[in-house]
Amino acid sequence: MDGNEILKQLNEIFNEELDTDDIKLNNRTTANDVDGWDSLSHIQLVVAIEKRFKIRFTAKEIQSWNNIGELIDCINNKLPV
Amino acid sequence: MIFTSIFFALFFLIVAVFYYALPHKFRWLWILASGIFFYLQSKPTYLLIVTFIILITWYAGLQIGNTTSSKKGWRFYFLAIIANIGILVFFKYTNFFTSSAVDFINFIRQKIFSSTETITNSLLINVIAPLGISYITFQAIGYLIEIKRGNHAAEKNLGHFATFLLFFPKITAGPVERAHNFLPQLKKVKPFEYNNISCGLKQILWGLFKKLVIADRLFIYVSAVLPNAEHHSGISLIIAVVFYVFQMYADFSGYSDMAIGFAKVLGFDVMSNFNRPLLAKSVTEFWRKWHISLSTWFADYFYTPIAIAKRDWGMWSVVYASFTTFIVLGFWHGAYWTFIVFGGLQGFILTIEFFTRKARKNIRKKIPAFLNGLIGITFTFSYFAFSLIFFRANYLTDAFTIIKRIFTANGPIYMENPSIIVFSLLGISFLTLVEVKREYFNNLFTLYDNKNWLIRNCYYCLLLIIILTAGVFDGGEFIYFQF
Amino acid sequence: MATSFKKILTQKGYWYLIFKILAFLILFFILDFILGGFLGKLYFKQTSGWEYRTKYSIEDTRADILIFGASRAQQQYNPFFFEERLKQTCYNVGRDGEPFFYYYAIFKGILKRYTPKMIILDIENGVFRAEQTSYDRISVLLPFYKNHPEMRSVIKLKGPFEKYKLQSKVYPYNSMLFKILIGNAEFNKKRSIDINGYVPLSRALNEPTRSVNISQKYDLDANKLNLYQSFINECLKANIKLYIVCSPYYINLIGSDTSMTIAKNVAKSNSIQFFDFSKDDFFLKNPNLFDDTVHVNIEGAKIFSNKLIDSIILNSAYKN
Repeated sequence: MDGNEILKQLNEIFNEELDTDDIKLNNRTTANDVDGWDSLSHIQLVVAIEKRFKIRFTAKEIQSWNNIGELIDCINNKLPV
Repeated sequence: MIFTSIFFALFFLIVAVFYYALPHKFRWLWILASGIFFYLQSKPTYLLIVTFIILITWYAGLQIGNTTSSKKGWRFYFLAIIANIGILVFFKYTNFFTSSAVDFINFIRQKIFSSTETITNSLLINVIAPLGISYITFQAIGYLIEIKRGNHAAEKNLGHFATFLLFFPKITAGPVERAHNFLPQLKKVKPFEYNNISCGLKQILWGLFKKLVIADRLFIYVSAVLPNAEHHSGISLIIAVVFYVFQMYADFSGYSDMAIGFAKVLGFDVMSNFNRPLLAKSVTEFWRKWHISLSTWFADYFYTPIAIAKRDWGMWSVVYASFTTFIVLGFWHGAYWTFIVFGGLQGFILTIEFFTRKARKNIRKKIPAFLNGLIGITFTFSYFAFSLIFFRANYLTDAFTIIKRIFTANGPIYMENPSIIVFSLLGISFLTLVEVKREYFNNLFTLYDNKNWLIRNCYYCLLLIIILTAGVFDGGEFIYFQF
Repeated sequence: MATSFKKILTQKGYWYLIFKILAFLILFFILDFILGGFLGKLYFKQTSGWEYRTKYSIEDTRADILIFGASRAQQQYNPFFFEERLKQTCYNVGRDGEPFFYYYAIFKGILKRYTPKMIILDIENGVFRAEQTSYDRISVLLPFYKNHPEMRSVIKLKGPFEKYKLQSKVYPYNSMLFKILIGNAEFNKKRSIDINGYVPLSRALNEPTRSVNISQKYDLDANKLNLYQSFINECLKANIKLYIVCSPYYINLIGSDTSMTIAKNVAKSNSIQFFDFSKDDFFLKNPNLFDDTVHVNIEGAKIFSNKLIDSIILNSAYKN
């Protein structure tokens, strides 16, 4: 799976979990840019991402992403090659 | 030394003048010395406790950062965290635990042995907490966690680290600053900048205004009514509770503004603490705007780790984490059951808001935006006001008396001195006007940042004149002091 | 010169800051002067209310008999009876909630203008107690600092920085804005009634007395004690007939209060007549004469004033 594919899937997850359809993510998007992405919904998003990609993040990883790009890199590293 | 005293003003003037007169390499030493002087004004012996916290946190930080063996790192991390929490718990909660134990023993004696004798609380030792102890320990714990997580390097210079924890503007009541935000600023050469001083002084002026004109005036009515609830009518109690919300906000945000302003004059940007919380449209949003330095501290170091660890529980992880966080947050304010109820109420409403957020979003789509905002703000304000009844009361029964009387006690409005009510209402209106203007019409009719020197300065003069004519000068107490 | 000044303004260094601060201060003092002057005009133009009575006491009254004290003077001594029976003019300069500093400052202000013939000083339990609020309450005297040098030594007791705070012309009127406005309003004359300074109370108690032990020790205020001695000395010097009185309580007082004991002893050593009604049986048996446990109502004031006048007449007859 390449970065763009992951981004597309993340976009779906975000819109689904935050219950909108106007979120358009890119690599530089941060939590401040997305309405409703806060510390409460963050965990919920993480769980959804883990389920979709069938991966497991560490606690450290969950708290380390500064933007969507870093999240995608992290997912990419976990996916089977 | 409180910020609103003339003694502090003189102290600060001397600190600032010498600070800019000194070359960069001595400035941190001067700030540290002034912090120590500031601390000595409270209870000199307690400086030893703070020194102990500084030494142990600094040393453990270095060990965690340096060591390659994670086991050794863990040991230091654990010891330092336990030491910090231990000191905090000892000074803040000894009274609570011993008096709860006494109450329990008395209860048992009464119920089981039908003894009429009771052990009195006067037998207990009364522990007085060192100035700003929770702010100091929280900043120390945050520092250790950041190093443990590998996000930031440990501070090598003990002097710089001590300056961070003893930076006098934030000793008494925060903000709960992060080491990695403060320390780089301390090391950087800061030339004299006119804008820092001008911005800092303006923020101090606004903080003084909120504290002296609004908070201390409201305090007079609130402290006459709420502690004597059984003598007051429902309508007086409602007024007092609403006043109390504004009092808390004006008091605490005013004090924070002053702290941030003093830091700014010295060229430091410390964390902001309030972002117009009374205009929040939900309680969830409220806690992102109220006491930000503390709520983000709890979010980063307490809430998120719990929620992550329990994330397999799905939605319940959020519920669990919210409740634990807010109960601990309530308990942090002081060792009373009333504070725990206060925290519990926040956890409860956050959970409700979390589960209903989709439904609420759908409803919102059908109502005009301004009405939405109004309903949200009114609800949030009312709920917070309700929870503050517990925050203010000394005992749970007092809080219940207030709530009961709000609904049942008819009678006139208590107005011993009508002048106080007029001053209070004008103060609240002024504050609301300023907040609404900054939130929604930031670019219209600006006075504070007006481009014209005369208009801008006339506004500052006016604030100062209002402080002198309508401020309360004779003995107003800062409520967050003992926290 | 011109270029270096321009340099100061553009470089935004230390001199620029000092220049800006000075400009701000000049603007502030101009506005402060205008507003302070305006508030001052209004303050001294008042025709009724609390601040008006303070101003009247200091600057206007010429009564032969003056009554000093706090609420227990203001609300219990009716000058009407003193005027009628002693055939002299009388004014009650007592003010609710004010400490000994206030009595003394008013006394000094009056003494500057004329010498009254008789002074009745009401002293209550705990009058010499050391407490911060007594110093805070001095604030009502700030408007008189400028034109009454004789009162300054008392006003300065408020705090070490008072002299500097008074550089502001609005500061003396702190927290008084609405009281001053209402004090100028016509309707307030009907709302805030007083009879030569006496403010009558109207409720009547209907409950048994409670007992309070008043013999606990507390810290005494050296300033208050000194002013008490000075008050007596100056009355003696000016040949003013001074009576010191403790008015009735509707409380069953047990033991004796430290301040009261001192007040009595000092009065005795200066041969000043001291009338103590604090344990007067007649009042203790009549709750209907009290508005609350420490203030008699209008009926009680009538009886109390007359009882006191009886004692004064008896005392002077005996002396003569």
